[in-house]
Amino acid sequence: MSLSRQSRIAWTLAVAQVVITAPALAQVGAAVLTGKVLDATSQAPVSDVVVTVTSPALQGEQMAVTDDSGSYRIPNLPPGEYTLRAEKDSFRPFSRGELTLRADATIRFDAQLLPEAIKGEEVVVQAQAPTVDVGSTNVGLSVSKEMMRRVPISPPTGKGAGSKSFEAVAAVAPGANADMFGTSINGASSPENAYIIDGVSANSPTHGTLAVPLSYEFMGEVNIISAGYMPEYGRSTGGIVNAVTKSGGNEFHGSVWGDYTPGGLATNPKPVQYLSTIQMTRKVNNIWDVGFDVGGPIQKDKLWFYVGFQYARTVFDLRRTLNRTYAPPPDMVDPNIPVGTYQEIPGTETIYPATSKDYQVLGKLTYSINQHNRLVLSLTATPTRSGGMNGGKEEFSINPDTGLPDFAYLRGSVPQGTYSAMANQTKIDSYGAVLAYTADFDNKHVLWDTTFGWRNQHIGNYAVDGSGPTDNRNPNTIAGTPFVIFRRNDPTLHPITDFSNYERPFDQSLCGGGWTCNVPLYVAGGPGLALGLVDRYINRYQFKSVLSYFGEAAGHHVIKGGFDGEFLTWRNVRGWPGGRRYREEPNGAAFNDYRAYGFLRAPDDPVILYNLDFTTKSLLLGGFVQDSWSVMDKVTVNIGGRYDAQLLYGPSGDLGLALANQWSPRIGVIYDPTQVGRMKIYGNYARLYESVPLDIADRSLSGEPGLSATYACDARDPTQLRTTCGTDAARTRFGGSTAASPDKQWFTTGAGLTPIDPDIKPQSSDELVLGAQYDVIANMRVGIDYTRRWLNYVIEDMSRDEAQTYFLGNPGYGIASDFPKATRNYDAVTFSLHRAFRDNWQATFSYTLSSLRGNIAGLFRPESGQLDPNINSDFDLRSMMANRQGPLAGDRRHQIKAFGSYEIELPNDMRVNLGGVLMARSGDPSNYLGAHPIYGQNEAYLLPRGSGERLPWMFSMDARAVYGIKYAQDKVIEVSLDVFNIFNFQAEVSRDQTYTSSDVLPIENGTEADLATKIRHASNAAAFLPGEKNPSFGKPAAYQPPRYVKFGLRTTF
Amino acid sequence: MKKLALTLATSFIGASTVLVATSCEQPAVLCTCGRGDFAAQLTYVSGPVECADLKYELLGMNAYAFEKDGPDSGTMTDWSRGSVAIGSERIGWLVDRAALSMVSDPNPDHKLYTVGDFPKEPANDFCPVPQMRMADAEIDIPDLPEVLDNPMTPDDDEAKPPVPATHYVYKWSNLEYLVRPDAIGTQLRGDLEYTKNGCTAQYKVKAVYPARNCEKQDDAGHPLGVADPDRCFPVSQPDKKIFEGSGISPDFPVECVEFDPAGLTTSKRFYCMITKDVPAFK
Repeated sequence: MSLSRQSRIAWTLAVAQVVITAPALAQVGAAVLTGKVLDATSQAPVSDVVVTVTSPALQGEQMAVTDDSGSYRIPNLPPGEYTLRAEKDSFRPFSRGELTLRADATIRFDAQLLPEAIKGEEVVVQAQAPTVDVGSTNVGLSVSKEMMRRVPISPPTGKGAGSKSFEAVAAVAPGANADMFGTSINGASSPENAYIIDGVSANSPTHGTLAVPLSYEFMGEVNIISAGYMPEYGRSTGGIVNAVTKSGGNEFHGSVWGDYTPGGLATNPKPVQYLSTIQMTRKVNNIWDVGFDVGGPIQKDKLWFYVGFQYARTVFDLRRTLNRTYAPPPDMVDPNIPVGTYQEIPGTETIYPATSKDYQVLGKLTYSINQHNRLVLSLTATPTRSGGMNGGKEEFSINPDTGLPDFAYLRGSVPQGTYSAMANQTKIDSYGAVLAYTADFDNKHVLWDTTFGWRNQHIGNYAVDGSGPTDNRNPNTIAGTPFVIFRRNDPTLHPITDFSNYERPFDQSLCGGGWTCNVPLYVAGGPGLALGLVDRYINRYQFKSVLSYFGEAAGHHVIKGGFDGEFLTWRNVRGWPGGRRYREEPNGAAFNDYRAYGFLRAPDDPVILYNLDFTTKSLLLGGFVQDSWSVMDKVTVNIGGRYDAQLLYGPSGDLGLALANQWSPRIGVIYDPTQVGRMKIYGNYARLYESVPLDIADRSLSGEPGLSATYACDARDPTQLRTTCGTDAARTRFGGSTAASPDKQWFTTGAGLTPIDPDIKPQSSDELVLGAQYDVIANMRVGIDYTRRWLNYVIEDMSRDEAQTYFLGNPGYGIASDFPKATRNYDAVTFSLHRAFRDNWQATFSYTLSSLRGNIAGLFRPESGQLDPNINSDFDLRSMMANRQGPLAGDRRHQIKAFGSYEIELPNDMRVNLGGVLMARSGDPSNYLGAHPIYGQNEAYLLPRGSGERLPWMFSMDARAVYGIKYAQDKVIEVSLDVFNIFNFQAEVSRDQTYTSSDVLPIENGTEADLATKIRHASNAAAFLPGEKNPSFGKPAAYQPPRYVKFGLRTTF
Repeated sequence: MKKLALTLATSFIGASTVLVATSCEQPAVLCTCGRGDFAAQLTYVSGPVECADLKYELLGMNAYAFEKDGPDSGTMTDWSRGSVAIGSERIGWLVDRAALSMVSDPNPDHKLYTVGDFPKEPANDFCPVPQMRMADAEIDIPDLPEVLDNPMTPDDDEAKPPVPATHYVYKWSNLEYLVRPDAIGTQLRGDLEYTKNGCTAQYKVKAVYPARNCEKQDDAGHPLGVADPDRCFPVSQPDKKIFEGSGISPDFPVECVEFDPAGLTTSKRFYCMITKDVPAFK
């Protein structure tokens, strides 16, 4: 950092110091280079130095001139490797390469110029560039192209795995965990994250999850900010997953790739068994993808293009069999057959493929109008086709949320019923456009970024013959056939032979002579999709304009102010197959259409709505101001705030919910005791507000109208199911009607709009971060940080009168003050080590010790899989509140994540890259759940939350080897081999937590010892019988994916 | 340049002002009522004393809506145009009893309920229904013979005494439903003109939703013929062997009262009733 004494090598021009300061300047994802130029002999600042930067990532060059304090600043640079030059008459020219600019970061680089006059003196090269970000309190991880290419961070199965979604990459950040719908960050559920691609939101407007699973092949960098972010990031109570796509350059470059995961080399997944005649096991058949990308100049230094394409295909094999159990009466036991023997019935095997095709296209133009004005246009398309009957072949679909075969109706993880009822066809079309304009003024002291974004999505969930919600009156389609659930248990269960109309023929005599073939549950008819057949048409319009000012006043300031708005629309067309969904009464005598859309216009005068066609809207407006003030290069104070407002409109077009006054203060302090950028001690406080997805408007602000009636018919006969059931002649008096009831035949559900507590507050969370980082050796930093997050207000629907009436409010406040307050406390300490890729190797390691406790997990319910943000069943009834406080799903105390790669250079332009991932984490808590008399299955916590035995630790080790050969200048062919879960650990990752399906009373503050004596029935306190315990309780419900081997071939040019 | 920066800064401030001024009022609740039986207290006002014997009754209610006009017809419900049906237990029992004897009201226009229309939103927390749209609830049943016990079911007593010819008319007016976010149509006040076999009397009515039976039970669940105020508590109290909450808002002052028999039964009945005039709050 300073001139050495004499007699050192003299050719060096200057000494450098790199400091990363201030987060996220300019347009989201862009980096800033700033610093001072000093006279190396006098340490005096040098003004009027021309500082120029060049990079393969940059069009042309960018330039700035130092001011009187010797400071320069070049904002709005795309992330990449840079070279800086500093020139002034009477000084020797200075040049420095290998400056890595990461997304959302400001690099501080101080240069010292040597006067021409000095002759023969020697100057030491101080090449070490500190990597500590002394300007921001961001906690997280930036995943570079380099890391994505060298380390096996994305296994072939899981959410978005087929399409190589960038979200999978987010799980590498400390404190990040895969959850049911994506990646949970710092204890928040995945729909709470803000997913950003090229500066605009990629969240689903309807449910908050990631809507655009764009391939990481197209990403230049994915930056995961788990905590400590500035006010420019809003509308998230989770983390920020900020992806920046690749751009073209002044030279033509591209690549072509293909990956193949053969099912034959995968180990067999451990089967999850459900005690029933029907079994289904799944195994990967093959997963593969091919793609290419190419970028280059259309006009050098002026107009660049980038185009990427990827096609991915996933095929699982599902093997369905019928089985029988030996359970003869005691006096008929054949001593040669053990009682309880379970065996496959010959000739009942069916293999169904579960398939998905994912297409991805990205096109991007970067246009430099001149040195101060730049336009970027990017277009994306990510359509998906999955499942259905293809040329007569019966296929299942792949669930985009899990990456696994999708079953329309599940009980105990194994589908029980016919193909038409269990399977569905999914079509997703998703198109987006982003236009970004950047201008700088006043020697780059003022910067203006404006971004427009539009995304259009269509999601269709259809019957396997392709018939959709509006086909449900047509009896010749599967959509026109009602779904039916058979569940007789009084006096006996149905044997599978009751469903010979629905099953392929087999030797039925095998289900006799002491052998039973019972099915506790069987479904038939149209698809049993939880939300029915749907066509969703979704639009998101975004606008953002940010003004940045770089100035001096008692230190450096980066002041930013911005305004942004989003307008979301969702047209949701839905319908039940055949217009209704039947459920058998437990005694088998009648069928109830317990899901049918419609309402009564007068007593017993129904209007059946075969389709609901609701359009809901959300308007989000926000603004922020922030200042990053760096004092004496020693302390940086980040201070600012956001204001947001959200208005949700129901299907009637009227305002349904107003969430204004979202004031989010944020303040952070960073102290660099070394003053050379090698260490920082930092702290940050932030208030974070949730952006409420449209689901609440579609379901609660709509008065989702439902009708129910009871029919005497036999739905085991497919003809009766389509004709007799549902007729006036078959309808019987409704069991719930009283003498005084105006309605004797029909019962309405969910009728009317949900009222709102006039004092409702927006949902928010507070966050505190403390930490320190230190550069121990070159390119390697270690850090320790502590994060605490807690909830303020939560929005939920509640009933104070036991499901008679509902309202939306904040549990524990306002008219819901007799409910417990919603809590979710996350505390975590993370130790991390990061070594950037230099000298052929890189490494990232983190260990997180965390605790997550409370009574609400977030925007979905992990216990039931319900994803109805802000209207889940967490707080619905006061009688459900007992025992809800405790460790939450996702409370994994210990987490270790290690990633590394090493490159070996071989002669003749060959190289071998070895990469590895080691992940270990402790298991989730588990629960003792029973049924609630009003809400049913799994809604009563028999013992306090988390009383069950924790799931075991999960370990996985993945490796990647890449062999590359350069066959021409800049042209490389690579062959790769990835092995995921090398040791084929298949730890239990989910457990059956249903202790009983009986309605039971929670044992308040009870312990495991109380289960034997204190369980009582909710209806009469009668003693609990041992036979009521679920025989599968505590048994694994899902295992870690097995070992997969993936081959890859890639050429880059 | 500075001018541009100033312009931009000004527009940001302008935009911010618009933001902060954004309405934070929640939309009004739409008129509706509790869907099921209300427990009603009837206070005699005027008329012949022979028909002044009503004290309590269960009233069956439901809220109704219209199809949306125009292109959304058939796919949406117009919740802003609601109506309410009000049925009465005395008439309902008579109709059900007549059905056992295979008898029904010869006049098909007679209904055990009547229907009135709500305004869109409440005014001062009440949704008024001054007059009903449909004809009054009315049932005219001729003499009903005795029903004999079914010898095939020795455990059950299906025998019913004969019932003389009965003609009821319930004429409702000036109904007002309490509708606010914390009480969504769960209290009612209004006027009733009650006619039984030609004798007409006027009553004031107050009612609470839902009707909750509060008769004390022994451990086996058998009724004991006395009131149990604990059963009016909103949520279940397993320690007191009460396994179901009343479902009545915790803000309502309620007590357990003995209903007069509805006319067709002689057994005692107990229901939770609000202790104050509507709007009744603790």
